[in-house]
Amino acid sequence: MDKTAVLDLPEALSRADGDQDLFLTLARLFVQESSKEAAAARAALGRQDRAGLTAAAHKLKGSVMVMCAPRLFESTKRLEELGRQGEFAEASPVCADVETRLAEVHAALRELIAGGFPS
Amino acid sequence: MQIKERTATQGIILDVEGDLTYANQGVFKAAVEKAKQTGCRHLIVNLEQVRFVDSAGLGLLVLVSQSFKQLQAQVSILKPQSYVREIMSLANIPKLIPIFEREEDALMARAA
Amino acid sequence: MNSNAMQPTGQAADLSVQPALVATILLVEDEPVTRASMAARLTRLGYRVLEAENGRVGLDVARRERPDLLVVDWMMPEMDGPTFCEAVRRDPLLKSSQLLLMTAHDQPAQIAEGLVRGADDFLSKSASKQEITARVLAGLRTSRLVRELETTGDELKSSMLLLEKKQAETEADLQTAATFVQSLLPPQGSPVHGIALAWEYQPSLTLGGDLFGVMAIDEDHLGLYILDASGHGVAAALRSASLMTFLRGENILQLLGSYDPEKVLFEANRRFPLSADGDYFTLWVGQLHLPTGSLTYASAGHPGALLSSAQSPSRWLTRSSFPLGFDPSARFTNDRLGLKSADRLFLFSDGIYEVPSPSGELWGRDRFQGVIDAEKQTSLSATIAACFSKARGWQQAHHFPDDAAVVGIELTGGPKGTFNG
Repeated sequence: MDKTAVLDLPEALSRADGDQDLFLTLARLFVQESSKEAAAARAALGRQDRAGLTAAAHKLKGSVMVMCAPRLFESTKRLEELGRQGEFAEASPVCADVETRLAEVHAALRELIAGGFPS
Repeated sequence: MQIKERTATQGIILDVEGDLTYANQGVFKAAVEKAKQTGCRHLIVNLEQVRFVDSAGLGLLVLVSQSFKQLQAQVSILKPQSYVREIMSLANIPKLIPIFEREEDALMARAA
Repeated sequence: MNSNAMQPTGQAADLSVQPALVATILLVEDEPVTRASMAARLTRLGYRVLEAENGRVGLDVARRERPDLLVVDWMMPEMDGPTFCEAVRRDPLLKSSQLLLMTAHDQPAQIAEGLVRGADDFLSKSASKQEITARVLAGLRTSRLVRELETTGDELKSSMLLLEKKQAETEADLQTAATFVQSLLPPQGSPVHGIALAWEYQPSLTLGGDLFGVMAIDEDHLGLYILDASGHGVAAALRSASLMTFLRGENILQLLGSYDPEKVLFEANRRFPLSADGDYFTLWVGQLHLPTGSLTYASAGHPGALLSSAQSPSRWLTRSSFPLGFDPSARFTNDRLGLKSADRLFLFSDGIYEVPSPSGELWGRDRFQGVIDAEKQTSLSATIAACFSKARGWQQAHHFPDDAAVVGIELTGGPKGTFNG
């Protein structure tokens, strides 16, 4: 994945076997689900729930992989690691970063969903 | 058990090797049938290489003898080993099927 | 139940197959986007995809649907992938399923653990279409093979069970037939006043072919016979039973007017020719005139009759003759002798004396005769028991390879030297 991009669109499309309609369907699903997972991660962090934080971060990471959002992926991956180690203090800013990047990805996806793929 | 067929002037000789028993009856019957098909008038069963004949084997010899008699043909036995000869005597086979010690004698007998 | 099956959306399937032959894949993945993505990709490849959002639901669906392949995420809450694999392997219904474990990363340690805990193969979540196809095809191929093996195994098992059942039925039938044939044998004990009877019979198989009879013909005559059918097994036994029926006292009396041995043999010789396979009978027949002790006897190839007297050496009662069926026009000749009180007549099959020692030497008629002579002072049944015991001792085995029968009658009336009951 191109680690600098918000969305690595060619890669994402390739993972959907070139099916644009499929990707857009998955994108809609992602927008819906990822918000829930991010919120769950934030809540688990708040109550210092190691297992909960790790699970939520892992789940979010999985869906992010489908979307091929490299910066968000790295962040989520870091959050999962910190959650696993129980490093709640370090995890806090990372969680904030995840939320920021997630908003970026949501914006990009909404644009795609509304306007279709660039030709 | 193995059977080799030899044709002589006056008949067919079956050289039998092994045991003439219930287990081997198929082989014996097949060889006899084959000889019969040729219209053979005298079938000589050479038992020189036969160590053992069981009750089924005796029955087969008698059966063959009877079926050949029906065709006005003849069956003879050649050179049975002593144990086999004893078994055949107990069943009175010599009165039914001639037994010979020499092939020439067997062949001559039919001609007579 | 939260599983849902994605219906094929009408996209062109890469594999054109008949609906009935489409393989079913169960996808167990808790993350919705990943699940949707993988389900879609598998459906596009032409498979029927079932989905489960966790391990517990996955097991339920698997048991109900028996999918050809299970694709399972590694990391799931409550029941992770490896744990799911273990559960599958423990389940008798599912244990031979093909399990593909989905990993986010290809770590050798992870792969090793997955294999140990029951996975058959691994699939990366970011795998290309080609890789997914390859893994799935491999998994389905194995699944099909395993199923064929299981079916063959099951079929073999049912065939075995059927065979065993039939065998048991055949054994039961044989036993019934054997019991019937045994019931035709003379009852132990005295058949008429002045005659003691004892016998022992050990058929080599359930059904025996060496049979015998001792019966009162009329108030003055006792009929006796022993027969032997050539060959072995059920066929021989059936033929013997048939001859035995012919030899029944009432039957012969009605047919011939008496149990005159040479007449009985003549008639039997006519009615029981060689079979198409060369099967035949040997037969010994005797008739004892009770008031005088005169025994008339004749044989068709059966050498098993021995007379044992108190004062004289035992002697064989047989002459060289044709078995039944050897010569359809054969005539048989009676022999006669007078029996005295305490004389014993034994009829026996060759199965009692043609027993081999471990080195192959036969016990033989002479040794058998020796036992009869040695046991003159003991009872009839003890003498017969001694024959069996000595024969068994000789062959150093309990079971006789051929039917072994010994029948003994003893004249018990009047002082020795006379017989006038």
